[in-house]
Amino acid sequence: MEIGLTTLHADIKLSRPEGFHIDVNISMPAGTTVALLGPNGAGKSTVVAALAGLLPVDSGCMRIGSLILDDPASSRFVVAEDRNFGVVFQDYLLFPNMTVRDNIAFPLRSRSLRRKEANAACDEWLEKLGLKGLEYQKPATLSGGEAQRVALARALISRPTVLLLDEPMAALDINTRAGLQTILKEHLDAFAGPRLLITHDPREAFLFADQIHIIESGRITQSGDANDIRLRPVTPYAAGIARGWSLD
Amino acid sequence: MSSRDGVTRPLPAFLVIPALIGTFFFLVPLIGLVARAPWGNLFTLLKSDIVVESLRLSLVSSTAASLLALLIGVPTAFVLARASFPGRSIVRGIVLLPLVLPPVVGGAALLFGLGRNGILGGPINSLTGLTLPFSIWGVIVAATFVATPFLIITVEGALRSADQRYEGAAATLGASRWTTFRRITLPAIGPSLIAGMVLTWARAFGEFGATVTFAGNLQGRTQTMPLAVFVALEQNRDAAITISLIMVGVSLAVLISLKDRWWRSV
Repeated sequence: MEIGLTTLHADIKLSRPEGFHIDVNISMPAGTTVALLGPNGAGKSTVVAALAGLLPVDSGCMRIGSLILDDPASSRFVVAEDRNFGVVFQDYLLFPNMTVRDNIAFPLRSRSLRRKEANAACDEWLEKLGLKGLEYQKPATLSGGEAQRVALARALISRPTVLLLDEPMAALDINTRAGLQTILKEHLDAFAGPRLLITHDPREAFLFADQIHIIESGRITQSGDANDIRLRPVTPYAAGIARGWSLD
Repeated sequence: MSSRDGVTRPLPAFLVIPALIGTFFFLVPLIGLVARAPWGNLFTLLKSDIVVESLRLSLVSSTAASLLALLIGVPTAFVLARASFPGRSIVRGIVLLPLVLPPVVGGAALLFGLGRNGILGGPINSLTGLTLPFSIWGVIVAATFVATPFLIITVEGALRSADQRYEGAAATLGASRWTTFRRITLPAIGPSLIAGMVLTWARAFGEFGATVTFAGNLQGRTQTMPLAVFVALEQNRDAAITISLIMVGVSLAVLISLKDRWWRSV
């Protein structure tokens, strides 16, 4: 079964210790980009953690095609290291003690691939993302755009079934954002599996996503494409987005 | 160290003068020791039995104690820093108690716990014939008891300040718990772990009270350098000063090598 080309279904119900509840149900078909758009503190990062397998759901179910990833009712849970989801984290979380090359090769090395093969695959991705010449640098010396591409290469090198991007542009300064958006969109569109973009920035959601879910206080308040949200906003938050959009 | 904007003003006298007095207070005993040192026959003294035997015993026992501290201290620090369970503060209090407990009390407690008739030492003795007191094992146990808390407190501090999101990221990239520990967590706490080990070793090296109470004071068997100084002060003052100089030199070297690593991480 080619699980990379099926839909990821996520029905996530979670209570956080702070008394915050998440209740989100979304489907992500392969080859489409779904955006989860919402203000800070809406629960977006918790959804990422649940999808990535770092946080089991309290109830609900998560599956890709017919493969169950998390289902408390039948006590099934696939841990993060066995999910093979490519995740680009907020702030990228490049390992500071490793070079660019060791960061990118990390997913292959942790799956016991030999150094030589891992490095060969790594070179391919360095080339693909225009990172040649940076392989022996430490993450602290990279620009925001370079760090983003290293994070992307590291997420994609193990040929993941799903791609999750958590605020991929938030760490970049405003002047370089526009150019990097185009590059990121190219790589997103080249990925065949389900793609989820988490963002607080409506522009990014409108630019990258085929479908947008607006999340507020742990719940989806509106789903649709850019036009739906622009023309028929449901909540004051969505209305604010629509207003900002029409002013551009 | 300069302030953030690169401008350093001279410190006021009300700070500098007490600081100088303080430094002088710590310096005087050292000067006294150096002034009284038997420089003429130092070389002969360094080769005397009491010095050689106590030095060897101190080096062996403090190194063994540091390795034991590593084995039990690092996992304990992880549990204290990462697990949440009822009574965690009590557990922390128990394992850090030797930091503030008079070592002689620790030694007495060790006797009642692990001595030949102790609640755990008794059964061990009748099963295996092993007796900790009055053997090098007793010296190592006493040093481990008083020194391990230094490693625990340092590593726990480092684990608390380390960003755990990196470990989550490693897991999503396919790393097992062990790989994550080895390649992400250990490098992150590395400097603190080294600083903690150095401090632990130094504390074990200087241990007196618990050792003399629990392991006794037998030259060549349980008489470490601090014990040898205490004994020789009465009978052979030159040997006592020689051993003291060695200990001062080693301890000073250790602290200077640490620079500000420990203070930064706790």
